[in-house]
Amino acid sequence: MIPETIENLELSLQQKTILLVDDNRINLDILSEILVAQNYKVRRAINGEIALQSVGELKPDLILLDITMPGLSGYEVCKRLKKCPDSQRIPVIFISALHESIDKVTAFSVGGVDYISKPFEIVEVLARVRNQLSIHAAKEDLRNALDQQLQQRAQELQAEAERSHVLAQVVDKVRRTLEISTIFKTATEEIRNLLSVDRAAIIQLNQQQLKRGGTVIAESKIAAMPTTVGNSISGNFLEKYYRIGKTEAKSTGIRKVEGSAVIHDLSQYKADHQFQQTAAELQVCSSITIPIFQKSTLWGLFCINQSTPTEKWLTADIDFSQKVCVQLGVALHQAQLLKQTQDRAAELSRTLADLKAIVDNLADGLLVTDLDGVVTQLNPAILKMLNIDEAQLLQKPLNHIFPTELSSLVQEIGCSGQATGELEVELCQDHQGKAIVSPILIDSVSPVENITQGCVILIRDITREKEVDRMKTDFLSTVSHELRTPLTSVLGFTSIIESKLRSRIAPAVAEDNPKAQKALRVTEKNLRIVVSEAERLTTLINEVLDIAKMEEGKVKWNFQSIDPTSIFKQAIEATIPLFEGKPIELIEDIPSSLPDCMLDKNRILQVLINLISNATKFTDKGFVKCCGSIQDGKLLIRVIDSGIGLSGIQQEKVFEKFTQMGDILTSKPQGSGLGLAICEQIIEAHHGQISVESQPGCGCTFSVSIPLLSRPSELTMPSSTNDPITQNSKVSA
Amino acid sequence: MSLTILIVDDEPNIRFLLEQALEDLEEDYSITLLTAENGRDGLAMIKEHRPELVLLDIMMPFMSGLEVCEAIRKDPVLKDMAVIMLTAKGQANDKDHGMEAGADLYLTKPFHPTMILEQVLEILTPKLSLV
Repeated sequence: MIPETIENLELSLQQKTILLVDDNRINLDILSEILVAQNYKVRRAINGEIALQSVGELKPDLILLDITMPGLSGYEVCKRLKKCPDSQRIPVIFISALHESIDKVTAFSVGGVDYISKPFEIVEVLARVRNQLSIHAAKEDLRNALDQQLQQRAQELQAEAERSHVLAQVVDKVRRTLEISTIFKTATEEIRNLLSVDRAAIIQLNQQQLKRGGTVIAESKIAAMPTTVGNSISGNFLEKYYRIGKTEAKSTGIRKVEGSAVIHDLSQYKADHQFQQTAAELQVCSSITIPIFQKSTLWGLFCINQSTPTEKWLTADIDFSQKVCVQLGVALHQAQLLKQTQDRAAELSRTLADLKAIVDNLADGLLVTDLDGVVTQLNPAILKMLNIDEAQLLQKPLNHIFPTELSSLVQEIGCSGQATGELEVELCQDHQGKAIVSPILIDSVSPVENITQGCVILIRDITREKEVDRMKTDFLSTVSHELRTPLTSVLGFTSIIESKLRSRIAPAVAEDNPKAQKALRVTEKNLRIVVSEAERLTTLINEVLDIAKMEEGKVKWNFQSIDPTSIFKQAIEATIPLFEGKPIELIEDIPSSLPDCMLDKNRILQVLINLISNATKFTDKGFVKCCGSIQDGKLLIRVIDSGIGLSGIQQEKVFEKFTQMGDILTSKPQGSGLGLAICEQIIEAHHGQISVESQPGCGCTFSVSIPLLSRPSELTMPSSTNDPITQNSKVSA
Repeated sequence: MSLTILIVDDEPNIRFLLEQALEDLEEDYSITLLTAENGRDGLAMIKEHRPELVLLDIMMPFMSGLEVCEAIRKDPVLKDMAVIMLTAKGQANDKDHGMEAGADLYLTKPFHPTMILEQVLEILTPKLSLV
């Protein structure tokens, strides 16, 4: 029994054509008969030439070839067949009467696959023929299979190359252009072409959320598909569509590609009417959907659509699309960074424009210099103030235009990096300017140490201010004169009346006339009030003028080397009347002598009288103590009282102008409220300090300290026997 | 021979006040009081009457007290005359100007009549004893 497979093989073999080549017709007949009986198709050739011709016309499946023939030998025929690509794979079985081994070897060497010796057995011939046909068929199958595999692999490689090319193009676009719309256009076009799909589209999500829906912002499509660019797609649709795709991706094993969603046939899914309607409008039936992330935020979706069901989406395509989407995310991030940079640049340029407008429109002149005093920036106002061209000042040293004092000031402030300095400078047309120099500090790593990179000089035209100043002085002078003259009359005549009343009228009034006596007393009292008030008014005028002059710096100081004790004595003498009729004791704590100090005697006297008279004003009982000493190279003056004292707020304000302690603590203000302000000015002119310590109800201590070395007009002291340091050390010793 | 004091001030009230302040001198020492209402007239009277003392205001029409004082000091005949400046210009440098111009004393307005009397007496005492 022949197995079924063998039977099949027989059947297939029986279809085969065998070419018989032999110069002996009898041999040809015998073999033909045998093979035809086995259902082979048989063709015959009587010599080599005919055999080659027959093969050229129609290829047989096997050749039985005699060796010894007239004309071309079997070997030669075989050689020629093997040389020709069309015939080289046809199996050749030599059949010959030659018995020598060399003949067989030659037969195999020229390309024969088998050798049958004549005379032959029929069964052997059939067996060998069948055997070679089977081997040949198997070889051919194998070859075809291999060819097919090779072809498929080549196609795959080709597709991979195309994808790589597209990806490279997208990457290149992302690198070369920051124009996001161009990148979207390239990505959609390339993907649609590569995947041969109906549409590739990009949907930007609203507020980075699927449920908020989105808008199609780019697409590439075949002509038959409707345009969707600009279409809003509802959140409901997107959520459901994406969910379906993700579930299907999972179920079809597409896990490799994170977040990707695939749909092979949307019509299989049951959905509400609205969903179906949207799907129909977009003509979506199958799709790949890939999320686009901008950094870690879901920005949108890349949708690859077919209007018909798709049999199978390729993982490689999804993978590739995913890679493109990663690049899109990079592009979006870059675009965002670019926009931020552009926004910042625009903001900066706006700020700069604003600053320039401010500087250019500044009424004051502005100069910026480096540390060497070379002008690096300026504004139009300064050129107008000086009536010069920019070229005369810009990139030029300051002292080309300004006095050297300004350059020195700039260098001084530039080096120290601290504080600001002022200097008056001449402007054009006899105008007067004030230059304010400030350092330009760069924040350094060390918080203590700042680095200066130059100075800013602000120059203000103070001509008008100066004029106003002069007018003020003139005004004060006039007021002073105009007020003093009538006051002189008031005070003078009142004094004369008072004196005459006392010396001439009072003795004439009859003692027994009580009404006249009373009127006399009241008149005397009234006159005293008028005199006292006129004196007060005089003091007030003097103090107002004093402080005005001091603030203007117009006071001429008369510093001299003097023993302060003499000033104390004078002050105490002058204030003794203030203690009369009051239960206040005046305590003096002053040494018999102190080292000479550089003082303006009259001004220090003014301070002392002011402090003592203040103390008596606000002390009803107890004491006023006046102390003088030298400590740490300073003259210390203290006036201590046991009066009503000052609150914290009052202490802060006590040296301010027109501050009257009386207006808070008592119902009646006393004095001008300028006394302590003047004292402060005087002490400052001596490079000293004045301060107050107090507790409400516990009296006040006013302290003045003046450095012995201080002499405002001359800071270096001449070395002489009057040297305060020497004298001070004597006192200390 | 009596002593003469000249009061030079453009303010009639001040002239009147000074006359009253010094009226005791007229009675007690037979001192003659003269007045002038501006610097120019004042200087003329100074030259005419050769007073022992001039009470001189500074801010006056025609000729200021400073100018009058300078003129006195420059005049070899008048230069030793006593001059008290009485003025409303009370600032330190005003006083300096007055002293520079040659004033013996610089007193600011307002003043106490008794103080003026005392100062005048102080200046005139040596001369009174000569009388």
